[in-house]
Amino acid sequence: MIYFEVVTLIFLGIAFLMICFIMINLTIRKNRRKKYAKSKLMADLLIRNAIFSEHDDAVTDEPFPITGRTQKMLSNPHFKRLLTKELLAAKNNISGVSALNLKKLYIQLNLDKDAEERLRNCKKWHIKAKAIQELGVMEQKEYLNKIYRCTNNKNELVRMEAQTTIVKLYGFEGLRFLDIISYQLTEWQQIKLLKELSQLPPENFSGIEKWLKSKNNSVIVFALKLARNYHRFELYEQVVECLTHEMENIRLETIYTLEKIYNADTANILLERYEHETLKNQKTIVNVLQNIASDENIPTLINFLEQGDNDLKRMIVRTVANINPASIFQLKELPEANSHPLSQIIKQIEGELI
Amino acid sequence: MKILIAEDEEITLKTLELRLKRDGHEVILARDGREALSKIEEHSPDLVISDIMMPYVSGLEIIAAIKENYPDRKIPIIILSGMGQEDTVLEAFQLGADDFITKPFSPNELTVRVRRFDMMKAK
Repeated sequence: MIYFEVVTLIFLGIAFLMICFIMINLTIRKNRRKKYAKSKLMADLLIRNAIFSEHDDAVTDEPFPITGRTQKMLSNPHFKRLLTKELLAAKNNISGVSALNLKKLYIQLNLDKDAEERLRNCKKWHIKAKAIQELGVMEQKEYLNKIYRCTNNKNELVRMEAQTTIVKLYGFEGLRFLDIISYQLTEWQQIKLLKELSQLPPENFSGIEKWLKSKNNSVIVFALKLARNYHRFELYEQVVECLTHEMENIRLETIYTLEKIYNADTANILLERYEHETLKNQKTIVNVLQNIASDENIPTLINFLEQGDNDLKRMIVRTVANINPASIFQLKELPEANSHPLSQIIKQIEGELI
Repeated sequence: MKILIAEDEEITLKTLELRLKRDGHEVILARDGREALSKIEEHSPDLVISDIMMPYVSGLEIIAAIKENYPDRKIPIIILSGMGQEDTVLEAFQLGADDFITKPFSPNELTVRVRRFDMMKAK
C-alpha cells in the first residue's frame, strides 16, 4: 500500500514539474514572440520612414528622426540584427531615392561600423562573409581596403563573398584582385563573377593580358573566359600562347576562346596542335573547326580519321561534311570507307545532311 | 483604383501597399499565389501587381488564371521580376501581362506606371 502511495506521489511530483516546465517555457516563448513583434514593428517603422521620407525626389542631409526608445533599442544586438536584416531586404528590392534613403539610415545608425567591426574582429567565417555581403548591398565603398584584403582569405566562402562584392561595387575595375589571389577560383565563383559583370555595360577593361600569364591556373582560365565573352581580339597572340600550357583544362578553355576571336590562321594553328592534345581536347578542336575551318583544312582533318575512337571519327566526318557537304564524296573514296566503322559513320552523317 | 498586390516578400509587400495607399488607391494584399487567386475572385480588382516567384501558385499561373477566368473584364497585370529573368518576363507577356517592373524597383516609378493604368481606366 505504502509502495503504491510513494509511486503515485513520485508520479504526481514529476507531472507537476513537467507542467511547471511547460508553463515557464510557454511564457518565455510568448515573451520572446512579443519582444520580436515589438522589435519588428519598430524596425519596420524606421524603414518605412526612410523609404517614404518627406523628400521623395532627393536625398537631403537632414538626419532621420530617431526616438529615444529606438535609440535605446539599438543597444540591443538582437534588435540591431533584425533591423539590419530588414534594411538589407528592403535595399535589395527598392531602388531610386528610397534606396539612397535606406543607405543613409544604415549609415546614420552606424550599422556600417558594426559590419566593419564584425569583419575585422570576428573569427567565424560566416559572420565575416555576412558582413562583407552587407557592406556590398549597402554600397559602402569606403570599406574597399578591408573587403579587398578578404579576396584572398583562407576561407573559400569569405573570399567568394569579398570578390563578388568588390566586382559589384567597382565593376571591371574590381577585378584587380585577380592580380593577387593565390587560392583557386572555383568554377561556381567564376560563373558568379561573370554573371555580376554581365549586368554592367561592357567596357575595354585592362588586366586580361597579365592574368593570362598568372601563376594561378584558375585565374588564367577566368581570363580566357573574359577574353572570350568580351571578344578581345587584340589579345589573340597571348591567347594562342596558352595553347601550349601544361594544364589540359587551360588548353581546353584556350580552344573555346580561339573559336570566339579566331582569324584566318586559327584553324591551322589548332590542326597543328591536334596531335599533341588529349582525346577530350582533340574532340573540342574538331568541334570548334566546324565553325572556323575552310575547304583547305579538309585533307588534314581526313588524315586524322586514322586515329582515335569511333566518337572522334564521327565528329571528324561531321565537321568535314559541315565545312563542305560535297566532301562526303571525298570521304567515300577512302580505302577504309567501305569497312566498319567508317562506312556506318558516313551513312549516318549523310543522313544528317538530308 | 482597387489594386491587388501578390508578393511573398513582406518588406516589398509593405512598401507597395504604403506607396499605393498614399497615392490614394484601395489596396488588397495577398502573400502567395493561392491567396491572390481567391482574393481576385472575392474583390474583383481593377489592377493586379504580382511577383513571379511565389509559393503554391506562381505569378505566371495567376496571369493565365485571370485571362482564362475573366476574359471580358480585362484586368491589367503588372508583374514584378528579379534581375536576369528576361525569359520569364517574355513568357509573362505572352500569357497576357501588361507591364513589368524589375526589382529593385523605385516606388516613384511604380506610381507612374500605376497612374498610366488609372488614366486608361478613366478613359
